[in-house]
Amino acid sequence: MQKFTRHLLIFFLILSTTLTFFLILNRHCGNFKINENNNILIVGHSHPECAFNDSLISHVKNYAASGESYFYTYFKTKKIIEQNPGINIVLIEFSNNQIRASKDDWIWNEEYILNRLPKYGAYMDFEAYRLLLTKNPKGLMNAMPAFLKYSLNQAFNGYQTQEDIGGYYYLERNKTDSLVANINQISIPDNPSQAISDYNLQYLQKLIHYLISLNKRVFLIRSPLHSMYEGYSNEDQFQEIRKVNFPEIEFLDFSKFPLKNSEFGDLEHLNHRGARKFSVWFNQLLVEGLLEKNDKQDFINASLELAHVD
Amino acid sequence: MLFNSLEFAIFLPVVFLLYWFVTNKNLKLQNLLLCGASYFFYACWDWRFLLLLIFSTLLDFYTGLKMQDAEKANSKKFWFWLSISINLGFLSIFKYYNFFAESFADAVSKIGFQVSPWTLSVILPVGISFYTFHGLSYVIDIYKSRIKAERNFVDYAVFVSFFPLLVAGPIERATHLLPQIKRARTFDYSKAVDGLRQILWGLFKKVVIADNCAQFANQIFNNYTDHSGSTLVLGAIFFTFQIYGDFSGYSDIALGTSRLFGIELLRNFAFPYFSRDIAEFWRRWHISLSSWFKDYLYIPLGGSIGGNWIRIRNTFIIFVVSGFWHGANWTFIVWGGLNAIFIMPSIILKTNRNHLETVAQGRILPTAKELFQVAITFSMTVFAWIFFRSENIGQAIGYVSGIFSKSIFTIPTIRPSNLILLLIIFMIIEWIGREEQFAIAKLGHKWKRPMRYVMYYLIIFVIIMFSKKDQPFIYFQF
Repeated sequence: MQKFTRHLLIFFLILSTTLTFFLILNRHCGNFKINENNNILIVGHSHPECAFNDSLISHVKNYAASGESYFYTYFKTKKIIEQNPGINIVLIEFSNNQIRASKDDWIWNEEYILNRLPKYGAYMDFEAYRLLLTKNPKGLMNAMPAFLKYSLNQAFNGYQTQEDIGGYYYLERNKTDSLVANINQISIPDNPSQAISDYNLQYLQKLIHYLISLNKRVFLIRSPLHSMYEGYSNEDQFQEIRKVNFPEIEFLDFSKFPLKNSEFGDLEHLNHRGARKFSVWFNQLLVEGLLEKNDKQDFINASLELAHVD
Repeated sequence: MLFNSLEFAIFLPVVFLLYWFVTNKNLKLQNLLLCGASYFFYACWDWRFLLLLIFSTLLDFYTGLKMQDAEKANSKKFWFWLSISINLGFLSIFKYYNFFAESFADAVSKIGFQVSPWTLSVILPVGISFYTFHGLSYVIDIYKSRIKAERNFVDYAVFVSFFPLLVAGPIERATHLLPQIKRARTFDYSKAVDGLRQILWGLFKKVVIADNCAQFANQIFNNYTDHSGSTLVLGAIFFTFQIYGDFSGYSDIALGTSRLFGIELLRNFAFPYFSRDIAEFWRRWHISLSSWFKDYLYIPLGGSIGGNWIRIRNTFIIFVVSGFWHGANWTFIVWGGLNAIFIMPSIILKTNRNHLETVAQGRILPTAKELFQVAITFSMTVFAWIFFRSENIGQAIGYVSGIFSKSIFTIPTIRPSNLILLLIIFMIIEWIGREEQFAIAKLGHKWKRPMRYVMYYLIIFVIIMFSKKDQPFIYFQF
């Protein structure tokens, strides 16, 4: 029995050392380098992912990803910034649905851990693991094999630039008309005060502090939304949280960008037609020096007026 | 709790350590631990199932004692039939009731009457077919005076619910397992190491072979009308490997796990795809079920005594019943019937026991004749699996029609080259180890330890790289 236990311990010690080696290797070799010409980074969830077609916007890299909470965005952005010192401006999506308590599920819900942990687990700190362990120990455990698999894959593929951590998503669908028709039948619930996503917002704070500590310019942005988007129901609460929690961070609101129903994929995502129109317009704003203006939102609003007229 | 889950990876070492380090000096405590651990393992699926398992265990334990103590034959018969009818009653309600109700409604609608079947919305308790058969064999053996009733409830409960075999077999016999449960067990280093190797190989079969084949088999079977004949053939072959990897992988993990606790379970698979005829295939596939049906159905029906017609009838009965055991669907019945047809020539010609030894025993390569026989048997098996995998008979017929079309001569549209290469390597390893209990039982046996470790690490590495999200074992549904 002793012999068996000894051999088993040696076997698993070697195994766990080898696997840990690959995890550490991933931590140090993970490749997040982007084109050196880009100095503006966009992060967030599916709204900017579908809105900013970065092939049409100069010096911008869109690394937003569907279903990504600020928790994972924080670790991803840290890594991107570390490896791309040329990035000096970060645009972070801050939209109505990101303050909702349900967004905390995007941190520790099994499906989300399984999807995100393999990609960012190597860069996460003890505090982050403790949070996952407290909130969903089973989910964390179940994601471990996928994490190992991802780390091994990275090692054997030579740590190529990570393509699966986000980027512009070319959305083809258009189901806006049917959604609008439904909303006409079912009124939008008026729910001004909803539960808040504490952990998600905490990590947004951490992300902003981190970026400011590195002298990066940080902006919160809101991508275009359909006027009938149900998420507007918490607009007052949303604006209050923004003003109280992030008073010194400028908010660039593009939500009212005029688009036809056919340019939306649904009420909160632009399809490729809408993204093209918006990205060309946004690029023009950057060329005209949007980020250097003192009254940025006024400048945006004035441009929106012109876009309406067009 | 799946064998291929992290929960089981924690559960198993905990039970193992308690078993050998805490309760090792007391057999009663060891059995109590096994019983508790098994009930916990089972309750992890759904605690309500556990109540059914405990009831079934109590029933057979009690009726066993009553039969043993009965002084009159009538009394013994009463307790016997009580146990049989309740056991089969549960199985019928949970597994077959809806099938019969719907089939009846279908049948009467064909003669002009419209009946809406009164179906039950109940879920099938995991492993019910397996533990019911444990109980049945125990009760039948007592009734036939082959064994004496067990008087220790915990020991009997371990026999029925021992966690490695609880949800998907092998289907054990009281004559084989109970004496091992009642005997003091000592730790055997070589058996434990062998057990771990078998677990590793079982995981490889499940995670690498079965789950990866499943991805393509599902893709092809679910859209069979869109694929060419050649792709459909490939889909059927993928399912053939999927079900083998899945079920024999499960059995390997069960046998290996059991060996860690000093208990030997019945062998369930013996490289069935290297069989030279269907009779040999059935001596090598799901052995514990085949032998159960042979002992408790085929022989009581008269077996092979009484001429060809009796043999043909009995063979058909056990294959159809065996098909039906797998599930309440006509596809399983047709699958069983097909196998009965395939085996019939060797039953009639009395050549069904021609191939008792392993193919090419003592040789590296088979002869051309053996290779041809294996290929033919494999093809028949693949054909039969189409019915097993299909959702209904219509789909199976459509699938088969799709195969036998002009497009069978085209290049398959789905060609996962990595998986095909992996299957070839897998079959080579299986071929090399075909005379052993499992393929890697003796692989690297004479190598130095570091080399053996490298082999194990390589297998673990492949398991991690090819792993998908936890996939349930196919046989859990039976």
